[in-house]
Amino acid sequence: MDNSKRRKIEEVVWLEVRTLLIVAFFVIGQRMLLPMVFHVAINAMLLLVVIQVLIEPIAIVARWAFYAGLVLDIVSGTWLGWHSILLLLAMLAVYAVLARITSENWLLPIVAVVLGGLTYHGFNILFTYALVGGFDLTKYVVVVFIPELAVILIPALPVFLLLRSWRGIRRGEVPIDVY
Amino acid sequence: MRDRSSVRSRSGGRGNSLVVAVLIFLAVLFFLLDYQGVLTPVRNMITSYIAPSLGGTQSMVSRLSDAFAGSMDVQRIATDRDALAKENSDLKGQIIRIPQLELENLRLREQLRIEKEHPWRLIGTDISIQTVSEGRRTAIIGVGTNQGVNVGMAVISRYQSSPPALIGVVDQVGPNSANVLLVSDFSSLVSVQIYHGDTVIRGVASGLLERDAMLHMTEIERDGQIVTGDSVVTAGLTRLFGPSLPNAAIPADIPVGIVKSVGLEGRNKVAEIQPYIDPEVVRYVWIIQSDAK
Repeated sequence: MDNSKRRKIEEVVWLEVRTLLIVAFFVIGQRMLLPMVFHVAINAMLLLVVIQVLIEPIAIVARWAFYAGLVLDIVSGTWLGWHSILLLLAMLAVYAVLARITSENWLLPIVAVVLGGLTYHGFNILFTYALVGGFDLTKYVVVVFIPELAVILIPALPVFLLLRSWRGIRRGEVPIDVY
Repeated sequence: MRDRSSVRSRSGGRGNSLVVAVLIFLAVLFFLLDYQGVLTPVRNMITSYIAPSLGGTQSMVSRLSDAFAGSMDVQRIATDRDALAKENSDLKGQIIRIPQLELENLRLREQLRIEKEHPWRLIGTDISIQTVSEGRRTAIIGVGTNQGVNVGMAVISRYQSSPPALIGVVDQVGPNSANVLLVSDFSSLVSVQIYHGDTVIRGVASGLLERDAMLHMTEIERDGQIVTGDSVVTAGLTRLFGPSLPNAAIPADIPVGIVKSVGLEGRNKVAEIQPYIDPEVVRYVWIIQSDAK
């Protein structure tokens, strides 16, 4: 193997490790710090994944979703892959519906979070029903789905604007907003 | 007006689709392997490594900030006072340790008191991570098989003036960590009993999806007399009827809560139990390793 090939492999590995570490930092913050500060469960990774779909190429977002899911499974004691599947499905749903719409539209993050949340919790209900046990669906919607969705809807637009600005800064773009 | 460049930049080519497909395949593969138990030891091992460090994250952050402040002070002191500064720093370190030692002392005294009052042998530990999202309520603790913890062991705690009460059951265990299914989780099922006069009424307590919810007691004998305010304790029925099952490790008579209301669900009698402790507020727990000293 020549030096350039080896260097390329090293770069790829470093990129993956760096993504994993960043994602792990966010997940631990989500699971440990956010509930202590706000006293509610905030699904920050779902928010980040669905917002990222609107801004970044899907392969990058898919890696975020995959790694975030694995770390979430480790800190939640759930089967490995459970949260990865949920996040990847939420990402795909948002991508399938909203990929053709411009990321300059401010309504996009709200629709994305609702769509992503519906997919995430829809499949979570299915998996939980099938593998853990039955529960009252109405109660889940009232007690879990609506509050968790509402909590991530609040920062959806600021996070979207922040990430979009960050992308613009990286690319040296001039922001143009479309209503 | 549409910004076509942003649309193009996000739409993926064949390479992107391949990455997504591979990651979905890997996620499903990991899930199936872990569900079959193949990857479970690996997950438990990873959890064992990270749980203790996560548990100590906060104290470490505060210690780091203290150490940083201490080093800044030292820089300001003249070189001829280095020795004094070091001594000062050591003393500060000891002062920081005092509240930790006091807390540890308090917890050990509490453990000794509980062990004196009950025939239980306890292992005390901090809760490393609590998961209260997506309708589930679990916690990860920093002790595992290496410390003698096994699946099915009862986890108790105390909060303010409550008696030592059940907050969950060990669900999965790794070498240095364990996953605790809290009693308030909807999938938690614990056999319980109520002493009312000269009768014992038995049933099953389960959690509910609601946050800050009570426990739901079902499978109660129809003619069993239960009134509001009756104390609910564990029944330890698994030990009687399924001694080989993991939950056989739950001893009888661990306080669970008090009866808040009694009603009918169809033809079945049910009761709402107010737990002595909200499992989500506790930060330190004891695992009942055995109940025969």
